[in-house]
Amino acid sequence: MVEQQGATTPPDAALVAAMAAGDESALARLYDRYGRTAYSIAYAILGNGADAEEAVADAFVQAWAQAATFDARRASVAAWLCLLTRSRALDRLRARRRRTRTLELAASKADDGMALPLAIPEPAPDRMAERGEARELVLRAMAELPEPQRRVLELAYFGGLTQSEIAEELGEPLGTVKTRTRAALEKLRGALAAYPGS
Amino acid sequence: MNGEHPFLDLAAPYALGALDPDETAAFEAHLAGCAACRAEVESFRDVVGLVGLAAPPAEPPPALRDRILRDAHKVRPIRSAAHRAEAPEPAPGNSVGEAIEPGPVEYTRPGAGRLEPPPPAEDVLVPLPKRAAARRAWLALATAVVLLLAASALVLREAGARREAERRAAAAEARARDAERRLAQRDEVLATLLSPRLRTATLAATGEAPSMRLYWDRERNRVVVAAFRLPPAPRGRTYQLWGLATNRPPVSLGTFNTAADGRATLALAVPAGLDLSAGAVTREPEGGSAQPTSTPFLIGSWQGE
Repeated sequence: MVEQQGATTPPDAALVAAMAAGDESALARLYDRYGRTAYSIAYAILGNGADAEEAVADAFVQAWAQAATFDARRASVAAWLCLLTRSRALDRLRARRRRTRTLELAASKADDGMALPLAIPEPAPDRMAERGEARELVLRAMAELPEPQRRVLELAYFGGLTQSEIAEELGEPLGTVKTRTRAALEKLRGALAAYPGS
Repeated sequence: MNGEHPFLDLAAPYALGALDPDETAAFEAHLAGCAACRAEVESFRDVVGLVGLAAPPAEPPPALRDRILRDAHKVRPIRSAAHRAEAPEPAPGNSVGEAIEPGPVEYTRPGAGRLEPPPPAEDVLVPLPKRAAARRAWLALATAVVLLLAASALVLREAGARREAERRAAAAEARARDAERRLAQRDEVLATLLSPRLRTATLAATGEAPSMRLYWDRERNRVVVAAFRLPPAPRGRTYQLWGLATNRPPVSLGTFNTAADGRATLALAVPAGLDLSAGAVTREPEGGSAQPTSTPFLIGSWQGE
């Protein structure tokens, strides 16, 4: 559902405040704005629709329940919802990995339970129109990262791997991974400084 | 690498939730006392959130919208009044809402001596029925895995290999039980926070820095405790939570301890039908005491319906 931000549509923070007051239609509108984004994140992390649905449901119900704790001065609503979704998705991913490691012991062979996250694609020109300014900004910022830095960020963000796990995965020293993580995030912070908090 | 302030370099991976567990604990302990690092973590918070926008677009099934609205309908939001109440924010980014979010949350076993841990009953998961099903499925899978491991053991001819497989099966079963327990504890905390009949209390220090939030679900008779900046009790000692009512001796609600980072999040069972006016915490000998043996160092009154 495409919704234009304008003078007549409430800003995100107003919807969150309405949710805190018990307005279920505000939850519906926030889902209409961010449900697809949330599902995309969950799907990128979990790799299948059923798990992604569960994670998104967990995240939005949590957002509904904790709307009163949201502080608009400290974060944008978009970032908050994305973080909630990522957390709930990573919970499921880690639980799956624990089950998968158990099976590994029995089968004694590597399995693909630790599915590597999808590489972030180049934005196709016709896609950019659909998804709006914010996504375009992020995609462009990520595309400008050097490949090693982007890779480390993907593994941390969508794979939920720790620095040590990333170092092992890439066969790189831990210090290198830490430096790249910090550099990637600092670059993104600079590039996204223009993003208007809603 | 920043030689003068090495912790600052950890702010970025921390914001991603990508530090190893022990580094995370050390960093969070450092955060409590370092405004520069807190500001650095804050500056990354929005960025980390927005990276999600780069995920390849995937279309959710139409039914998901209704499912979310139905699930939310069963749950009341935490009342705004409870959080507008004058209370010290324990530390930036440390509201209880975030205690169940990314990053490690320390769970401690409720009341060693005084009360039983809450039973993992089916009724615990009323607001989120899917979780009960997911937990049962997970437990069934774990059981199936243990059986699979046991079956593979029979096929192996070599006695040494069989012993090894049995050892692995036992280890896997222990891990499954541990994960089940941790999942149950987390569900406890979440279910209480989402309860429609919620009363909260914020305990303020009577002379020191620690603080605590309590969430009392009088429908399910549970109290969720979230403690901040409370150093772990020394060996042989423990913290004990008391419910105070007028004209009555204090009622023990259970004992607990904090992790090295000064935090604890746990759920305690509460006797039903209590009419409490305040909550308080004292230091007691390990195992707890029948009545407080020292002056409370954290105290606060209950608010909410």
